[in-house]
This record gives sequence, structure tokens and C-alpha cells, in this order.
Amino acid sequence: MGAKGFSFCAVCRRNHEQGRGHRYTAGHRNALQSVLGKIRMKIEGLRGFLGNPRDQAPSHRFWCLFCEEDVADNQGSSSIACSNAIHHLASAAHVSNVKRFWCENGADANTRHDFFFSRKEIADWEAVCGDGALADSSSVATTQGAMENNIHHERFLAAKSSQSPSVCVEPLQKISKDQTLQVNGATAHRHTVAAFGGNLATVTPRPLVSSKGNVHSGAPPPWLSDLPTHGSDDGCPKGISKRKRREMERLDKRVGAAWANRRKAQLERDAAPRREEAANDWLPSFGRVWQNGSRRDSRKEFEMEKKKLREETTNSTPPAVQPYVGKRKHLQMEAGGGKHD
Amino acid sequence: MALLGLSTLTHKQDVDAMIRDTLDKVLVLRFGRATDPVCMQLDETLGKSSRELSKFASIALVDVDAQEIQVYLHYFDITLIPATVFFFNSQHMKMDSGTPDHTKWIGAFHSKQDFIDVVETIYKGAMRGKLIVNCPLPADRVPKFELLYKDI
Repeated sequence: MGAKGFSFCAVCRRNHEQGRGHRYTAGHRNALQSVLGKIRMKIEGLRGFLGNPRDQAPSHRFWCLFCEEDVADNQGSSSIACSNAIHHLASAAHVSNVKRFWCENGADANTRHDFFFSRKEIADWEAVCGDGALADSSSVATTQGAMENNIHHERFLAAKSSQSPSVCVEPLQKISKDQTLQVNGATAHRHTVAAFGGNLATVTPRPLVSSKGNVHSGAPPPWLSDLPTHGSDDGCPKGISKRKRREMERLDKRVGAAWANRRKAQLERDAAPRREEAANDWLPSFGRVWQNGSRRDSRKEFEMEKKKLREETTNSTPPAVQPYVGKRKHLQMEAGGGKHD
Repeated sequence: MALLGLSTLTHKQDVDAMIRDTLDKVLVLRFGRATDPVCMQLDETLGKSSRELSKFASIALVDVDAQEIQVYLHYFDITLIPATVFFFNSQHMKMDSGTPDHTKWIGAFHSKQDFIDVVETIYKGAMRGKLIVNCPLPADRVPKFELLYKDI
């Protein structure tokens, strides 16, 4: 089932299954930059000999990354400096390989002309060389013929000819943010004409007035087409605790997470009754909203205030202070008073 | 079939609401006819397993003969019944069971456990963010069918 095939990147020198997206990765871009930098240095060195074909050139054998072949030295067969390499870099095959490399690896198109010699440059070079340059082209052919006799080169050519474009098996369909289906590559707009299934009954859907496509073509699903528009669509319900938020982050990778959050918020909003406007003198039923401290402190404070209020309202005059009289004496006094009378 | 505890939907609005309002649960919609023998077999399997799957799956039946349901038959390209379509959070879930059509399950299930395994696989895949899952059943327990497509 739909796994991406592996393909080899010659620049990064590794196998990957990122498909065409590999060219945009940071690693590939860095590797491309360093590789092209090295090749550019070599070609700039050869470009110097375009104006001076009679100079003595050091060994300029190099590996052409675009054509994937070795560009051999003149090996003293010509008096023209670096003629082999210059012919190679001007050849039509090399130019087309450079273009192909640029397409495959996503390099900057403005720098492409640095990696081959244009026709004008070659024409000027040949004019400077005179007849010597044309005579040397045969030596180039023989060296190339010698290369072709190389068994490794033959195998390489056989592999190149049989190489098919990298097969990349993409997943069947992808879902984008607006929840419409997109099929990779060509749109597979198809419908079933006939179906056979043993003991299964067939169904012929009645023709619709407007058929907008189906699940195979990536048409928008019918259950989202009649969606009623809501007022404010906040993606995440507000006022949730930190623990719940962490749990939601864990669940965010589930299919349709954004839709589920949005829909839950909408359903909660629809279910909650509208709160009535509070009066100006409304206070909560529990006491002491505005004070600091625990409820025990606020309760004590409340009781002290209540007591003070009670005392103020009930006792306006202080009670008369009288000396203490014992009970026996009190009774004797009452009896003595009665006896005297 | 009310007898099995499953509701039968005949209006598009009901189907839409069912798909949109089933959140964080797999929604199983059976498209078929109550009188078809294979549909009846499947309905019994669905009804018997609905309670066991109630924590993470909801099941409903959709009548293919209703006028409003034709748009769904066109959208899902349903030509054989019973056809079972899976959803999760309004996303259509696909399953690769080796058949020509990954967008739905066609036919009945061999046993109740097979259906439970399929729903569990879909739920696990959906919670991991996968839109298409592999069928856990062996090939001999997957109903075979052939489809002829026409490209438009």
C-alpha cells in the first residue's frame, strides 16, 4: 500500500523517500551549494584558458557531475590547453545535462550559465586557436571512443538507458485545510459503470440535476455543503484549564481535530442559555467577595459586625451599676423589712 | 432497524447532522435496503456490536431508496449494497482491504469480531492522524467484487 519509493540523490549521496520535496530540504540545498561551488571553481579555471589556448595547462582531468562521466586530460596530444575539457563543456549533451540537473535539484536558474561555455565563447576560442582547435576534435573523439570501450562505461550507459523516471507512489488522497480532497497527479474523475459482486445486489443511483463529481475526483463532500454559518468561529474554547489544554494538544494530531474543537465549541454555545443582564445592586450569595483572607476570617468579621450592630440598636442607655449583695443578706433584708412592719 | 437499536436515516439533513455532530468517534453508515438478505445479515452484525463499540463508534443505517440520499450514492459512487462508509470528525476514512475500492466496505462481515477489529483499526488510525488504514482481516474474509470504471 502506498509507500513512497526510495530514490538516490547524487548531490546528497543518499537514498531518500521524500520524492520531489527532497530538493527543497535544507540539507540538500547546502550540499548543492557546496558541490556547485567546487565545480564552478574548476570551470572558472578552465574559462581562463579560453583566452589563452597556448598556455601550459596543469592536469585538468575532472568528474563532470552533470554528465556523470570523467573528462580526461589532453595527455599531451594537443598543443591547445584544456581542449578536451572545453569541448566537453561546450557540447550540446553537457548543456542539456546541466538543464536536467537544474530541474531535478532545484538550483538557482540565474547561475546555470556559469556551468557551460556558450557558443559565442567557443567561437571566440576557436578563432584564437586557429586551425589547431579543429584538428584536435578528432583526438577528442578517440578518447571518447576509448572511454566507451571501458566496461564500466558500457554498464553505466545500459543503466542510464533503462532507467525509468523515479516511481513515486503517493498516498491515495490528501486532505487540505478546507477539508476538500485532492488527488495527486492527474485528477482521477471516474465513476462506476458496472459492478459484479456474487450475491450482492446492485443499486443504480437516480440521475441528479447537477453532478459535481464524487469521492474519486476530490469533490467537496455533501455533508459540508449546507453548513449553517455561525457568528464567531473561535478554533478553541476559551477558559479551559492548563491540564485540559495539554490533553487537547496531545489529541491535536487526530483526524479532523480542528473541526471537532470548533464544532464542540459551537454546540456548547448553542446549548448554554443566554445569561440575563445583572442589576446594578446585584451581589453574589456568598459573602465577602472583595476582601482578602479565607472564608473563616470573613465569617468572623461578619459576626463581629453583626454583634456591634445589634448592640447599637438594642442598648441605647448603659445599665445601672450596683454593688454585689449576697443572697442570704438579701433574704434577711427582705425579712427584716417585713418584720419591722 | 429499531429492533436492533440502530436508527435508519432517510433525509439528507439527518445524515449531515449525524456526520457533523459525531465527534471523536468513528461513525459507521450502512447504505443498503432493509429487505435485502445481505443487508439484513450485516444489520444484525452491526446491531449486536453497537453496544460494545458505543464508547468509540456510532452506527446508523441509511436507506438507499430515499430520494434525498441519492446525492450520497453519487458522491460515494455506490453501486453494490450493502456499502459501509466510515467517518471520523466529518472526515471520510478509507481502508485498504485489497479490493478495487478503498472508499467503502462492500458486503457483510464474516463475524461480529471482524467488524469490531475493522472499527478499532479505523479508530486507532484516525487518532494518529491517518486518513487511510490497512484492513486487519485476511483476504479470504473480505468479500470480493469487481467494478468497471469509466473516466470522465
